[in-house]
Amino acid sequence: MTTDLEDVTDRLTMCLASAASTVPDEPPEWDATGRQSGPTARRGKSSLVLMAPALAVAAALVVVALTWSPGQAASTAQAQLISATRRTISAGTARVRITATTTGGKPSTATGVVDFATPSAEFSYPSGFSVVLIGDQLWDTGYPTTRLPDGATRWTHEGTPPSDALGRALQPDTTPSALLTALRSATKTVSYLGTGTVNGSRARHYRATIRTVWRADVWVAREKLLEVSVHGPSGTSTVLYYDFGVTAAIRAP
Amino acid sequence: MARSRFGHRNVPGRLAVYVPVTRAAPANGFLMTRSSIYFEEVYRAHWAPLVRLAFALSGSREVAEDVVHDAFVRVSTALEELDNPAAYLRVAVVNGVRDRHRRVQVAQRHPAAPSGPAPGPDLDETWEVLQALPERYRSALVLRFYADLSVEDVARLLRCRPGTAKSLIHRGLKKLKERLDP
Repeated sequence: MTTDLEDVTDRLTMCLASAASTVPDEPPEWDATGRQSGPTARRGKSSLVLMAPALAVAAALVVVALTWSPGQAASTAQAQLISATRRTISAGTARVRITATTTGGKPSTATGVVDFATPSAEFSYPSGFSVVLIGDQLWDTGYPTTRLPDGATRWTHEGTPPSDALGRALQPDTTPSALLTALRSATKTVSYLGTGTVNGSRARHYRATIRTVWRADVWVAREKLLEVSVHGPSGTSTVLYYDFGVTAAIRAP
Repeated sequence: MARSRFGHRNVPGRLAVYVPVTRAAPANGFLMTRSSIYFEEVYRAHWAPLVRLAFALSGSREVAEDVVHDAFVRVSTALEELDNPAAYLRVAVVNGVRDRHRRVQVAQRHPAAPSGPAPGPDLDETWEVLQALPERYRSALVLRFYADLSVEDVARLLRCRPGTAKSLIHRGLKKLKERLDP
């Protein structure tokens, strides 16, 4: 390219970069039925708000993604994570603490227990919103929580969430095939980053890329998963596993 | 759009979302399915880069956002099956802008008036000259110098041979220079 054209190339590049900078980073709230209208588009808070527990679910998916990677030669780091994940599942049950933070928002934390074998899970937030999952059946308390005349919490059976059961998502050991479809290509990059301390335990730190939008930091201690953090454009969610083998009596409400 | 109590958006082909519909809902008071999580993340990660690309290609923010929205609508039903949704979306956006341009040409016999940003002094002249270039030259230049694609990738997106893409880029730059420095 001649020097003359290099000049015009520079000018063009600057012009395009300048034009691009006028587009905000934040998208308008997604609406499949209508058109957004640029930076002045109506923005709901839900998009950000929605992502916090969603990322928590994504964290659980990472476990599955690491466990199953057919057709791929596992790297050493990936093999170590697979081994840790299998040992975690073998433990049968665990308590979980899910901390989700949306971008620019405050963290919220749910606690509960997961039975990897049944599969089932129950967890609740300080607000009172609670969820029970058994297989692919879902119950929740709704929000705000309502009380029955006898003082008991009113639960609603939501049935099976269509197509992608949250229950499956939260049960990383049970129906991985449904999740594999989405995550198979996500775990090509797993790397070992060193050691650190998490929740008072010395742990090995791994990082995996989930497709192009999620990055997962996985901490392994005593040959089991200790913590899985998923970072996405909307925020970060961290799932801490502890008290493996705890008694879990999860029943339909 | 029909909604269940939990805001399940019953859109055919769309991904299920469970959201408490009350405005007072806490940040933790909802559930989403895996597919919708993934869609939201892809949307949030790629919306801005795609609108910027479409804006550079079309010269119009309105067209850019429309085209990008259409691309996301198209991808939303098949996202799980795509290994590289970003690449798919980029192709959809480039094609969408080009289709728009053709439709406008046919309908009005002149290109849509650019409605870009309030341009700075340098952006003003270069931007206007760029937008006045024939569509194929403009697309080639934007894909090469904004999207930073290789000549081969530009050719793939413009559905031409690499030699043709190279020629479009070179001649596009020459035209740009001639019009900027007559």
